[in-house]
Amino acid sequence: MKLMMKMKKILGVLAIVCLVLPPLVFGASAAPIEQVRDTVEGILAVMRDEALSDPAQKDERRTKLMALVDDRFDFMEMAKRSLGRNWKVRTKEERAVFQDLFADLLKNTYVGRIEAYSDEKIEYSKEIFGRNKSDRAKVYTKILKNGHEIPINYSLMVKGNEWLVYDVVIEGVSLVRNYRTEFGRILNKEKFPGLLSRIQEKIQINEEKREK
Amino acid sequence: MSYFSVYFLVLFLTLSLPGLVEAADEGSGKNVAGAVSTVAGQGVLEDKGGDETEYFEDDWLEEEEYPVVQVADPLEPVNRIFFHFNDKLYFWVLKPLARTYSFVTPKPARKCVGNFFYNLKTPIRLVNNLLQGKFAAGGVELTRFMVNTTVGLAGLWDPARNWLNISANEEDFGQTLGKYGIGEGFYICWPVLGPSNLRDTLGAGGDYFLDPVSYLGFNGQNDEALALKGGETINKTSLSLGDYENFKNATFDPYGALRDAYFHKRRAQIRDDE
Repeated sequence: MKLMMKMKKILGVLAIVCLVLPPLVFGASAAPIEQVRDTVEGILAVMRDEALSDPAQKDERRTKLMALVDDRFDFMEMAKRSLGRNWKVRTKEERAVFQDLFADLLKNTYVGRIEAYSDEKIEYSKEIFGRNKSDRAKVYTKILKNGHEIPINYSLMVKGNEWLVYDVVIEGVSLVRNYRTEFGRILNKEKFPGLLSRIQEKIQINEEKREK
Repeated sequence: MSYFSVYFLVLFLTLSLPGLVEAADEGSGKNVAGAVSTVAGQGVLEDKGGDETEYFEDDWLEEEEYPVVQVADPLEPVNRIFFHFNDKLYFWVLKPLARTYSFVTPKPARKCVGNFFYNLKTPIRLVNNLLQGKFAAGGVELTRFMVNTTVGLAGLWDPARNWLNISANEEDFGQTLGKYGIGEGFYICWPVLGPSNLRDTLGAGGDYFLDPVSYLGFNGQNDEALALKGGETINKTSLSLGDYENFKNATFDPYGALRDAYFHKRRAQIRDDE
């Protein structure tokens, strides 16, 4: 009898562990594909929102879009990866400056791409998880445009309770990889301060184009 | 007919080249034609990893000393000139034309035109699916063609996808050659036609013969075919206005970024990682 009681207790504890542990280990509550869908559909909803399409609402619309992207994208991770080994030799302050600039640049790029497809339907095809790394996932999406399917894939990582995007691959082209190559070339010639001013310049030019 | 013979001669030479180089490599240990063989090797799946569910293409991101994927671009000075030319062609000619055209043609109509040309290109996708041993996908192409040509009124609509949820598997001759292990060669930015590489240029030549539009007015003058291809381009441009601008806004050296993007896109297509 005593043994039975003990067994029951152990089983009870086990059951609790089984229920509690997976969310702790995997962190995120929702599947990565669902989280990507929420964000992308959220962005599309803002873009299709008639009330926000008025030019006077431009800033508000933008703020909303950026907030959505901010919640899902891990800019720290992306900034780090886009600098590669150059990240290591930078000071904390330099990293912070770079990260902010990079986030600005990236948000514009990504939102610009999604905006171009705002009246197309997006298909969320599948999600896969990494080998030995259940904290990593890839979400495959497709946009149908002029009969062509444009693949946009997201690489995600668990951070706390959320799956966060650390790379976006559009038509086989990784945003982070593109910037890593481009930044590498600029760093070779113009060093770190040069890179910062180039990014600043780029953001400003894009800003001015948007104003028009 | 001379088109054909020259084309196949060049094709044959390129096809046999990597094989020869590999054979030479094995024989001597040291590679005499090292440059050629590295270039040829790039087309092969360089980062092949287990089955798809376990494989992350971006695991390179983890590495400290990540391998910089170099793309061969010996013609860079010339390519840059043509890139510049294409850039101007877009902003000065193609874009104004496409804007005027989209002003007088509503979007649904332009989408239908796009569908029409897409359906017309079925032979390219069908043949290349088959050449790659993708028989199911080849069957899908046939089904799509039959449904869209009849119910979809000569391919103006895409009921196969919209109603039956059958979508195409895009393959072209360049991808087929890549699947066969043919190297990319080097980057070529063609005037008017845009980014390509040696292998895909040959591939485009193959696709040209599979594209029904090419056979219009084939007896000597190709005026109709040219006009149709021009129309197709303007229609396509009208539906993707802003894409190129976005790309330019996002990149620091559009020439280099477009080149790298082209190679990565093609590698992903050949790997079927889409």
